[in-house]
Amino acid sequence: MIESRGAELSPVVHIIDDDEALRSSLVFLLQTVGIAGLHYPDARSFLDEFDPTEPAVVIVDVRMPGMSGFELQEELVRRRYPGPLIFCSAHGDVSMSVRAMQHGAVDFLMKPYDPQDLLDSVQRQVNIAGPAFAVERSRAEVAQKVARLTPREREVLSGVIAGLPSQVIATTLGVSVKTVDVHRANIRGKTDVESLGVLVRDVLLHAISLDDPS
Amino acid sequence: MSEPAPAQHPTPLESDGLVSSDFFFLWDATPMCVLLHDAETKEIIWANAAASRMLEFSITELKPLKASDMSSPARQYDRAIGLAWLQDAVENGHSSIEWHYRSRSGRVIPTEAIATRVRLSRGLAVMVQFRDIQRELSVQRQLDITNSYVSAIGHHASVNILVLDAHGAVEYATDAALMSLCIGPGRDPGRLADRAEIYQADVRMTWEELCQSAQPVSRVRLLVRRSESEDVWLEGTVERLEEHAGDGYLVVLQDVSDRVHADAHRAREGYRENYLARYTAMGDMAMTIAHELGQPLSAASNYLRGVTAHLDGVSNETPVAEEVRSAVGFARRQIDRAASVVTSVRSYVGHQEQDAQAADLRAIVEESSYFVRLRARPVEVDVELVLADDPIMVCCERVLIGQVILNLCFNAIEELAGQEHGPRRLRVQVEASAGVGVVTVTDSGSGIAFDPFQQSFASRPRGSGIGLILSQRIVTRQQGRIWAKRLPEHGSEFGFALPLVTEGRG
Repeated sequence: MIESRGAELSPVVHIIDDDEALRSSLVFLLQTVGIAGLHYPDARSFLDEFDPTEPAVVIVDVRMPGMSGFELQEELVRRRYPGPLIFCSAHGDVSMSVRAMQHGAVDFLMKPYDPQDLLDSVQRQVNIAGPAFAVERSRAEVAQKVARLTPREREVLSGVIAGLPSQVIATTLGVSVKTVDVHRANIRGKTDVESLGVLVRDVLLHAISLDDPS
Repeated sequence: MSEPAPAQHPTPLESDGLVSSDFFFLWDATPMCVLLHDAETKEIIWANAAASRMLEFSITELKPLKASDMSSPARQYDRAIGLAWLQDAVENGHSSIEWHYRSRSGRVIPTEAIATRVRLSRGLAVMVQFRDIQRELSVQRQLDITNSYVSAIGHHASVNILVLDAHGAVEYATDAALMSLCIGPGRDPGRLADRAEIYQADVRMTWEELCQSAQPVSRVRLLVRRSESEDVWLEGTVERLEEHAGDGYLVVLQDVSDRVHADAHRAREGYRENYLARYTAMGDMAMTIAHELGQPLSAASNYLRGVTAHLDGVSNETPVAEEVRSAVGFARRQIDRAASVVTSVRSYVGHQEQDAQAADLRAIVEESSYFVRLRARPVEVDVELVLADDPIMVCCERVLIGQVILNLCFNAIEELAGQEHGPRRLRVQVEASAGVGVVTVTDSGSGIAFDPFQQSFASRPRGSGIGLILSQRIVTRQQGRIWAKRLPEHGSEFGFALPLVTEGRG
């Protein structure tokens, strides 16, 4: 991985293409508009080296030796990677671009493309990438907090989210109201939130599942 | 009736030792039968030994006989007719007739008889010479029968037979031949060359040239052009007829129009397939080039765009910056131009039609193997085909997949041909596995040093380049996969897999 970073906090651009000349040219081009480009010769080395939490835009070639651009896209979707994907291909056709877009790509450029089109697309996505990564970061935090809960605590939490009073939750779970209150206190403590209300909002906001992760 | 007096011949015979009486012996000795009649009475004056022998009467016995005593009782040998014939000779000098004599024992002898008026010292006489034509008649009858057979056969046989004279005029033709040559019944067939074009081994020639080659027999092909239906092709032999003293030719022909038309049809189909394969291959080539150019063009325009951005940061007042800026602008426009060419090629070729069909991979390999062996033989490469027992049906562009197989095999043969030592073996295997039909081409060569499908176009060594790229394009376009690998011991394997046609789809 060749590092050529400019500004420190603005999103970077990951460039994955098996053509070395093309990678370098993109880095050079992005530099002129103050965007740092990190580049990789194939999908595997990208997955090995990139920082998934760093706000970024990904430019990827469709056809590469080893893992193809589409396979990389699937992998990133599986990993809930929030970075926008821009596909470039010299082999492209309409059906290819439709497939890419259906799986969440934001753009599909046919080589040779107008560099201005690429810059426009990257700059649009760079602006979106920051908030997207922030949302993902907070989602990951909430998910992490929820993951600390025991199965019984999750049951209690889903009762709270459903808006049920403690008595009803206790009856449903076949325990005493006092026990439910202890669980509520524990949940608050484990997730380090000011109130259960805040936690409920975050879980709903990020649509985090309360099913047993195991 | 003014018979001139006999010329007073000198008798030169005497100088040769002949005397007049010798002529009596001559006439008496000839095997030709001679009867001498009196011109007036028509009575027999004399008969030679041959006549006496045939009629079984001595001269003395013959003399008083009348025509009825020594002729066939049939009406046409009536005495009056005989007398009239002899009289005709008396009046006109000569007269011929077919006369049936009858011997003493009753045998009827058909003869050809010539009566000749002759002046003898005793007065006018008629000499009749005749000979037994029994044999000729039976030969003639036999000939007539044979003729009628030949004619019947000629009318009914489907074979085309012609007999021609030295100038190529048709003397005899079976009905089938007349029909083939478009000659109506009862019409003069004329010369063969006016009816058909004459070919030998696809070379057009004249009748005379054909005769030259018919020594004594040679092959010939005739083309009869028809305005209203398909042309007729006849094929067979021309033979110089011995009996004809070299003047006649027998031509025996079969109508091969169906075969010739089928051949022509196949050739046209082949040409069309070939054209289609080339056409598609050209499209693939164009797409490949467009792709290979797309990469560097993109890189170049990225750089130029970057340079422009940098220049924008430099003060406009420096004249050098201004010059560089405009030069970069020109360069960008040229790159854009090239890019637009690539883009338009892509959109043009992208619409090419595909002609995919369900086909047995084994059949495609077998078809190709002929050409593979043809290429392998001169360089002593052994070719082994290993085909699965059951059909391996895949949906593909048959002709193009054939091209891919040829390409992989030819590359291997080329590799083996350049190898100094070791066996030269090429193995082509077709099998089905996990939903795909697989063709592998393995060779006993030194093995590939790199994966040719993973290299970029420009970095490939010569030879392995465009053919493999096209093969890759053809296979991947049909949802297939193509690969190359070095084998652990020695040699390489090139292969491709195409999805099997599942029930209900094919």
